[in-house]
Amino acid sequence: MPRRVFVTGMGIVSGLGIGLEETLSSLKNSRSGIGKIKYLDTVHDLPCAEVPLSEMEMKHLLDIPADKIVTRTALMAILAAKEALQNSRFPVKEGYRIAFINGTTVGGMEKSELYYFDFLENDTRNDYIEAHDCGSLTETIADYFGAFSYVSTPSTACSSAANAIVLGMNLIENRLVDAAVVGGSECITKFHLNGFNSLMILDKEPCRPFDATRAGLNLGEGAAFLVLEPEELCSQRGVEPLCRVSGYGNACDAYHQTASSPEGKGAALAMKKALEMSGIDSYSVNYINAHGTGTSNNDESEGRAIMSVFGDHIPPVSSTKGLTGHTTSAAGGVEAVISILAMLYRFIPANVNFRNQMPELSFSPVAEMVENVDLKHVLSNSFGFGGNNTSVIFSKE
Amino acid sequence: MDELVLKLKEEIIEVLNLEEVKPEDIDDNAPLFGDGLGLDSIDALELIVLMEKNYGIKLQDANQGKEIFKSINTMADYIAKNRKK
Amino acid sequence: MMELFISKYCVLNNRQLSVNGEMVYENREGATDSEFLSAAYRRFGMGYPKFFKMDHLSKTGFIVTEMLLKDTALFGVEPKRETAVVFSNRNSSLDTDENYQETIGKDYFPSPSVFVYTLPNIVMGEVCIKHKIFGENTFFVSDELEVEHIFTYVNQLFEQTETENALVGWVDYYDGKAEALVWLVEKQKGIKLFNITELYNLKSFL
Repeated sequence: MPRRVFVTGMGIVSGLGIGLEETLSSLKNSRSGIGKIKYLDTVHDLPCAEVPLSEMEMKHLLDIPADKIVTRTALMAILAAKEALQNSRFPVKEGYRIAFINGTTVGGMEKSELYYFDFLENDTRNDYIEAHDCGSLTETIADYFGAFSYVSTPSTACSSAANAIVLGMNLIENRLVDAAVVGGSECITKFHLNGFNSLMILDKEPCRPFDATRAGLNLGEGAAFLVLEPEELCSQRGVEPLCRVSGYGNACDAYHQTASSPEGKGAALAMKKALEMSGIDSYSVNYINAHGTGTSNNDESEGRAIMSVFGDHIPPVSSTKGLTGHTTSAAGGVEAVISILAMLYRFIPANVNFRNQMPELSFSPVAEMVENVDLKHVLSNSFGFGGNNTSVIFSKE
Repeated sequence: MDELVLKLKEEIIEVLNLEEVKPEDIDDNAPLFGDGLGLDSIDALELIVLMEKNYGIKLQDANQGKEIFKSINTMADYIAKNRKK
Repeated sequence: MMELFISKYCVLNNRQLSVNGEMVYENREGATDSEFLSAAYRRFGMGYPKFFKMDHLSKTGFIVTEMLLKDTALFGVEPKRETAVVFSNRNSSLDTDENYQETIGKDYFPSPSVFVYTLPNIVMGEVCIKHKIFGENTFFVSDELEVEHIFTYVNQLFEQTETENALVGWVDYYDGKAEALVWLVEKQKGIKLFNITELYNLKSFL
């Protein structure tokens, strides 16, 4: 009998704001974090959703000395993980085996690209070399807390944070750890801003997920973590969980390095696997927080996949990337928090900027925020380049 | 024009890593995408970069590529008319 | 815990390719690791022109998986919904990241075809596209092959999902050096038991 695993705390920083309260307020007011780039030093004038804090400000919030070598991604992640741990009131110093799983792709790259030529030509920035690696980022965050007996860094592009949730679940289910802090972190870099731009999938305007006239995605940045604990530990600690992770699935689309198959094979497989594991049928899903990047390809592919899994009973669907931007490796974490907030506060966040029905799809997304809804089961999708598709289901109990 | 066509073939082979293809293997009128050389969407994007880098032609809309990259001839034609380098 | 077996393994290191401990191809004089990968592709007539568009990491993964699946019952079976892929490495996609950085850095013409490879899991994507694998894909970045972690993870995959077989291992390319160790894990009897001792033995080949 598999262990039942619950979410007992969460934390988030993103274009929606710092912390759960600001995030909830932004969601309920459909206040988008997408706007002009303020912190990244780039020639491009593309709409992005940056975390509304400079590194100095983040260091100040965390009592980290201004001259300490820490990357932007690490600072975001520490803020989010700190909130998650505080939120869960998990007794970190009492000898429990806790895992820290952080999905990321850029790691400390926003510094490496800034100091790349210094690395080659002089020794003035060498301290940042070590900070580059993804694994190094995870360790830096873990070191801040000094509480983790196991750390790991899944790196599967835009499904990284969702896969971090899956790995955390696996570790707890197999009794290898007592609890896990799972999620992802990513800051915007010139590297991937230019990369996505060269693929011509960035919209020069705020993105329009699931809209027939959609023209691409907007990049976002952020960090978000969940604290996962098995049922026995929750009872033992007398803590009221926020929700349960009832199912998850990962499948490969096996179609193209970066594009999704037209019928969304991998996406459909991932959703089906998650449903199977959770033991609920497709009629029981009350809301889908879609991957919905706003690219021509994803939204059609994911839309078709949703149709194939849910047939004539498609639940309300919305993509919140019109509010947060596409936070890439952190998306699975950011959107997990959004999904859980939706469940706890009984609302469906808006799929903003939607106006025109996609002719290929039998459903339209939820264009305006809806309140007073009873969400028992929420499905969250995160699909990464390489055809790496993950779906996670959060349930009230 | 013949010179441009040959140069284009060599550039395409290099930029798209078509290691097993020689310029004489590419038919000037055959479709580049789909069945022809079997190029895909990422290759189309690289051709857009090639046009800008080597010929100074900037394409704003990826969809324009569909017509321009139909064959070597249509591509050479377009470049001859619009090149800035 | 289910009993699982390693039915085949392949090592690529120091411009040598071996299958089940026997060397099948080497090219140690002169050629670079990059040239070795192309030479191996040709030597075994792999017939997949997309190979040449791949980055070094994907080429490395492609070659070893081709050698691994070749002559097994899995080769050519489509689709493979119950095959999982679990890879890891130390350098992520750093080799390609650096190449990509050059295309922005100097001439300011970021290359889309290089950018798509600036993620460590694309190598799994390429392998899955070639062999029509639709099962679970996971990629870990760690200092060295973490035997216990991978062993536990793979066991769990077989226990809790419908995974019937898995391609598991280490695929890395950096600083001109290709290094890979992959093995095929199955439920039916194979050449070795899939256990920690055997994995450490295999790891010593790297």
